[in-house]
Amino acid sequence: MIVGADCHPPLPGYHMFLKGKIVTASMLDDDAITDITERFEKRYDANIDFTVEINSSIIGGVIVTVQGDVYDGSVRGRLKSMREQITK
Amino acid sequence: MDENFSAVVPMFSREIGKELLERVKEAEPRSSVSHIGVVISAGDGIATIRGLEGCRSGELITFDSGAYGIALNIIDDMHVSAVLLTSSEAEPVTQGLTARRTQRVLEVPVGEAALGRVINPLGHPLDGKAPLRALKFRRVEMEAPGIMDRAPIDTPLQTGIMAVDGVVPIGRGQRELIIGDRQTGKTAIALDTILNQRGSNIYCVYVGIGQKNSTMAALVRTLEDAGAMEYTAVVNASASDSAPMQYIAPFTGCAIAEEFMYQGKDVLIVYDDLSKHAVAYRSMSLLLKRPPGREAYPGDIFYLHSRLLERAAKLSKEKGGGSMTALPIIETLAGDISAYIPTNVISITDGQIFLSTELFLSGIRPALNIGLSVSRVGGAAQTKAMRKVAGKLRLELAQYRELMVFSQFGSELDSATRKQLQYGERLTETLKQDQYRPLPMAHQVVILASAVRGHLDDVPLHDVERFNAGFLQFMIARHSRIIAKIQNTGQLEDEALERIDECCVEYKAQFS
Repeated sequence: MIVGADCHPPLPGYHMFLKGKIVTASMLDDDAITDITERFEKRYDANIDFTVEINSSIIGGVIVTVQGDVYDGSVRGRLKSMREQITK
Repeated sequence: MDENFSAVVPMFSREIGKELLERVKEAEPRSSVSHIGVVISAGDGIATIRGLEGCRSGELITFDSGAYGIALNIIDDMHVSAVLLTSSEAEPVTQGLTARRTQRVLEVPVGEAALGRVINPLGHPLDGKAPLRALKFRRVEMEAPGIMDRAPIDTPLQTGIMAVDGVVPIGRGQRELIIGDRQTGKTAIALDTILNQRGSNIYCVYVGIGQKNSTMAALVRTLEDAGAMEYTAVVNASASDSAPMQYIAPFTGCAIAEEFMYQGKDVLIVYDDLSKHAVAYRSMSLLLKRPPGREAYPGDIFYLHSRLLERAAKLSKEKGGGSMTALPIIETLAGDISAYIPTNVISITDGQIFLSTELFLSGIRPALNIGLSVSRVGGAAQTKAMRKVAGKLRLELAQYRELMVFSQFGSELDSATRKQLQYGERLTETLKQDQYRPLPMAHQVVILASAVRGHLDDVPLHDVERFNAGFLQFMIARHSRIIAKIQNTGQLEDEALERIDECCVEYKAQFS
């Protein structure tokens, strides 16, 4: 049975299908995408369908968005966190 | 000179460079996890957002358009309703916009930077000057001081208004409500109190809620002209601002005042007025689909005002000994102080100053209704000198009021009653005071001493005002030492009182 993303947590016996987005600075190969997908599917215990977007302004790394949670592992994000620490 | 300077500059830049290098080495690049949501509907100042997992009640939300909101309704795991705090800098919030959690509560800039400024509830400047350079931010919602952190109120807050300082004295750390119909002089009392704090180390905060912009502009102008803006901060959410902004305004002012209080200073805060604040909160709650209660106000309307006013206190020595005195203002309709919101706030505050339209129109200004006004702190908030002369004022005026009713029947009155009436009339006349003319404590004591000791009994009623003014000038010119002693020590010895009696007789002789 397919249950939409609005049902949270899912009822027992049902399986969730989610949509996610990966933003990367340069093309990712299939292995990398599969790796990310598996990790997040395990974390959310659901099927996740990722779309990949290329945006060089993040400089490097990836930003993964799933169901309202944003995992910012980009170089731009890390530089921002460093700037905040330095200028505190 | 130049050589020294150019030798110093590389030294400084070496120092700064070293510091920066240290910080860069210590900084750790971190990835972050944030929670976002999508606006699924926006309108009437409310945005309904889907997502924002883990969002907490009262959390500050930012939108990609630059606007801010506060999540006030947590609908279920996936939906949140946030009220929008509009600011002219941000574009409107629309459906489809991304919303982010900040994991923080609304904070505003506080500190000395706020003095002399007019700001909106978010801390943005409204006076056309540069943005506030505040070193510190403070949450708008904070817990009130606990019982053990408080000390009894023992120091007067001089309003400069004889009727108030004599009959309903206010202490530092007290909450005294100013309540009355429209146009009875409520704001005037608050304003005179602020003006009277000149030279006294007391900082003031004036919060305008739902006022006309023109009124606020005139008020700020008055404060500037009197030099009061040096020690006053003004927070304004006018009638044209959204309901959430009007809702936040008093809390912003409270945060600014609280910061000074915890630094050990004495602060005065005026909330003008909480009636409009209640209406704004009602609008917001109804739009948030919260269940309406009595008069359509939400069920937590009492809590709204109680948590605001409980933050005004006198702190113990261990906590710095600072204080925040609150003067909330409530507007009644047709003098009904038993209506919902007025009774709520009366039960929260430590007394009220009730201003009556009848008294105002009959020329008694300040239009203080002494029978219905009270200060629950009372004598502890008065100097010994003032207590000595004003102690019996309330009782004497109450007796006068009872007799006044009889005199209206035109019945033949015995001489004792007539004397009592004359005395009461002159006392009432003495308590009248012009706006923008606050009086120092010693001056009040001198005037009240002469009135209370019966020296006015043979002065014609229409001359009482002129007599009092003249007598005060006489004392300042010829007997300034007595006045200085009262002002500096706060005491009025019996000898000094006798001297004042003598001076009164002396002045009366030359008074025509």
